[in-house]
Amino acid sequence: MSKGKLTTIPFGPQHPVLPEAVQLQFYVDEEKIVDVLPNLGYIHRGIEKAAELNDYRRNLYLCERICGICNIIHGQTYAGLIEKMTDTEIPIRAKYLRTIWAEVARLQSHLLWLGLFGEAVGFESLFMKIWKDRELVLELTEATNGHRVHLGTTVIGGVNKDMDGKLQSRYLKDMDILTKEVNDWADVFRKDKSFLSKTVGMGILSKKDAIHSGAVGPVIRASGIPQDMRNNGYEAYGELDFEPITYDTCDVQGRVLVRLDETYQSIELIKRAIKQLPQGPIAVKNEKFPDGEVIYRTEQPRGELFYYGKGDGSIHLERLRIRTPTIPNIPPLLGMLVGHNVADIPSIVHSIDPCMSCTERITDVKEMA
Amino acid sequence: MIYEITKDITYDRDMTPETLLPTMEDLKGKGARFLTISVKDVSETDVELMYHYEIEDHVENFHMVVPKDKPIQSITGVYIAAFIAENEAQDLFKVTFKDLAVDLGGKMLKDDISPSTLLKSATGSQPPIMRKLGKCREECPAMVNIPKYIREVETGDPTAAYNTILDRAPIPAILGRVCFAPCQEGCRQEQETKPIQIRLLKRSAADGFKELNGGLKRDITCKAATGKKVAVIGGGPAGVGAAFHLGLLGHKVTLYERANTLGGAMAWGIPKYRLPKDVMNEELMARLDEVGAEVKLGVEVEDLDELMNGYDAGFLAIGADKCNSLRCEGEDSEGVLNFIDFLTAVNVRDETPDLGNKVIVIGGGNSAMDAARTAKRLGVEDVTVFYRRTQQEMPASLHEVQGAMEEGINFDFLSTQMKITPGKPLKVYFQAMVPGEPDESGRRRPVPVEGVGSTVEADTIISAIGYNVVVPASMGVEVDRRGRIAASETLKTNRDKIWAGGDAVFGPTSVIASLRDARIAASEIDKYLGGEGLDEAVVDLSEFVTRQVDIDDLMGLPQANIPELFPDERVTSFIEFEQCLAKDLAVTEASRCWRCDWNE
Amino acid sequence: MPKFLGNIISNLFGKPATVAYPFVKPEVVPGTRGEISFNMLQCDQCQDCERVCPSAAITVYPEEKKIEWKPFSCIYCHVCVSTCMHRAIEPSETVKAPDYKVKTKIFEE
Repeated sequence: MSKGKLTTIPFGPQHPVLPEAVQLQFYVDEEKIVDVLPNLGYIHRGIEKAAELNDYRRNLYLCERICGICNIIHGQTYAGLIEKMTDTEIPIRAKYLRTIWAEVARLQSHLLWLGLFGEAVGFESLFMKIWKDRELVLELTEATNGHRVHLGTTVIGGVNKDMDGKLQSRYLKDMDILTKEVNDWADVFRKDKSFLSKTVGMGILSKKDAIHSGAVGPVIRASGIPQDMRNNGYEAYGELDFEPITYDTCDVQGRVLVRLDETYQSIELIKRAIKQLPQGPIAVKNEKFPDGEVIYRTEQPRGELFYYGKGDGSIHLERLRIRTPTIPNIPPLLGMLVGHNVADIPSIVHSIDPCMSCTERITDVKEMA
Repeated sequence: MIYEITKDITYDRDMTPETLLPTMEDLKGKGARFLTISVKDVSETDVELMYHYEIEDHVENFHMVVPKDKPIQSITGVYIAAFIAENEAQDLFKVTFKDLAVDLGGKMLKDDISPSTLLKSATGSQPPIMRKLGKCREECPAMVNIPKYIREVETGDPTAAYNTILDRAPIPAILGRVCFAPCQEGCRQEQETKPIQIRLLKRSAADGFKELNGGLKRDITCKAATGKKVAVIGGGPAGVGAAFHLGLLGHKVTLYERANTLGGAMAWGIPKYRLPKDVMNEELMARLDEVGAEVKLGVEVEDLDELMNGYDAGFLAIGADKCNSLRCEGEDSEGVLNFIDFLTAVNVRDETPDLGNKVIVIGGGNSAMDAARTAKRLGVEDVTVFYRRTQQEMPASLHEVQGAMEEGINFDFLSTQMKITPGKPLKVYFQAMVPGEPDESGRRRPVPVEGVGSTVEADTIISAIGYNVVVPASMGVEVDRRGRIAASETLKTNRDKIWAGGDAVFGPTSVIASLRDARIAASEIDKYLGGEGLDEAVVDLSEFVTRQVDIDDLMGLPQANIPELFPDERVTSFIEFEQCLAKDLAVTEASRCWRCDWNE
Repeated sequence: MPKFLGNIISNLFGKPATVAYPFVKPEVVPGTRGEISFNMLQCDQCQDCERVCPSAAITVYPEEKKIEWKPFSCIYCHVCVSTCMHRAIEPSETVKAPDYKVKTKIFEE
């Protein structure tokens, strides 16, 4: 044991491994981590307060810009919130289309993460190859609405873009090509020895700790608990035979496998939804101003997204509270890190998929636009 | 299946600071998962905390309102994961937590300004462009709520549309036939040359109401009687409008009218083929009966002092009836009529004077068109209208001029009368003119062409070049330099307790402008008598009006045509030649409206 | 290593996965949301576009019949295009190029 002093190592906010800015202060005793303190708030933009100043239709565009990778699901959650507050029932075809695009977002996000994790662990050409396959998905998004990242098809009351036969067959064809490409490199994550030596047995999060500290997403699913918001059957998930994927290993390798299997599952869900797509209109208009209090929880690639909205029958919302999935994953992270070596920090921190730009805060907005 | 979205969440337990920790221990025992804490300011001093937990697939919420200045007990002893939410609340809402496990002391968020997060009324920093009234409504002198009644006609509810119009313009059945419709010129679809036929929709609302109800009289209750008495002098649109509004506010109104019928300029000025007199009388009597006003026909009021002894306030709406002179030699010859005498004889007394075979009408306004078309229907073969400017500068409505041309009336532009030679037939010398410099109304002043002119023969000449107000001196009100009653902006005259409005104050204008004056004066009189007056036309931000969605289908709909008889059928008699729009056509026309007052 | 060999050889002799951007323009998908321009002959200053714009990038001056558009605040969502009843806002498919200074564009008759 040490004779007194602990070394403090700051990790972040800029680090080659981190996609976003977060700072963790490690108190280290000769290679073993003893304590961790987080420091957040580098990407603070005042979205909740701006949401009160806007009228409720403009908030849709604001909420879509909270995060770059998972923007489609933010938009759909907000639109679902307002639809419930105004008692609007969206058509079934709109629900299927929203589901398809949410799965495209999930696919794109998991491929991004797999590439970044591979690079964090040391596999650079794997990163290049996975991101090249991700380009297929982005070109698919561009063919849908002209933009690669911000799809922009959600409106309050449905969607504003329809998928005709040509686009549907392009989706199905591209999903088959993607499956073939993913099969090429999927075994690296499952069987490669140097990869496994960095992930198996690292960052253990036991079942009891996972529930008590409030973990969400693949972090908790890798500890054997089948918690997935899609199981509740919102949008069209109830009709697509969805089952959450769990692993029992409670370590970093479990999280990698959960995300890899979810990539395959997303491809399957997209194909199934396109084949089952029903006919009908794609949008309806709402009939009154939002009124009442609603809670809506959906599943982002990183976990459970929580929206709380309160309206008072006028054109402005009274309160909008957003809790993104990375926030509840930080306390488990602090528990996971204690006792490991300093060299294991990148892979453990990266295993919770930190998407810090999703963290939003409320503050007085001095000037807008 | 369970949808993870709940509306009107119930607060399972309202917590107090004492019960906070025991509730949390209880939840931990049940294995609840901590979701988040939502914080909201409820006033300057209090803050509301909501704790959200997930227990077996559904969300439970706990609610606590505490003052901001005392430290709040932290729950990190029980749920360590709450430290992020509590630090966030510390930074942003300026509250403090005690026993916080990881306390970053208000420095978690990298922001060193101290924000105030009290919810302000959010007109915010986005451009504060709120709801508009609609261009049609802004063009109407009386600010009738046009977009609203167009929507009510679209739903097929003429009663609601009738009541909406009555709030500001009490005579919809008449206006639907005679109004010059400035709203239609304000319609934004004028740019695509397809404005909404608002006047026809108003008429279809009134006629639809009459059909549903068996008459134009409604069953309404006025406000409680105030015991005050108001005299209204003049039974034209301004007088009847003021009597209606004042009666609704609870005052006892007596209306004095010099002629034997109500209507004023509507009675003598508007021909029977445009406004049948039974419709006019029915509507005017319906309004006066609804409010219990007393009508005294055939009574001319000369002395205001004596009259006002028995009343608490008075409104003068005596109108205008002095014709302008032709200002040329020989205008007093036999066979030269002024249009007021001519139209009164035909419209009010139902006479059919013999005008000979050729009639000349001098003038370019709506009255000249009325006179010419009336002469045509009396059997005259050759009717010619002479006007001193060009056709584009005629003040008459476009559809009146077009109707007159269709009925075979001739027009001669850029001619001014110079001299009338009496005899049988009369001879008139007309001087040719050319347009010169613009005068103060913006139209070009005609300049005579030296030496060019012609002499025209006619059996009768009708002069229709305008008319003005004559105020009897015995009334004792101040007049301005043009002979009209001098009234302030609130329509108060210089006499105590007397207001004035309509043609008598502003000169010959229109029915709808007189109704505007009637409403303003009624509001002012009510405030003088101790009431609250009538409300103004303002935007209502709480009304939800949706926009049109299928713009492409909407633009493809054509404008509804005015249903009229053919010209050769029209000139044979004085029947009303314009008919009401069929119900389904009215609904289609109303559905074309762009709803410029949208608020969604 | 043997698994990746096929991949390496196809990458070595195949065409690059990227597009040499300023010299080769990529294919533009129909329906791309690009820059907008205002046709002032059709506009009647109703301010509907200013009211729906999510990022307050449009300012209308009704008396001077002038519209100011900020291309750096605009989020290219094209809600204004579908809102204008006179079809006075014309969308295009060219995406905004980068620039040194933040400028605004004025549209007048």
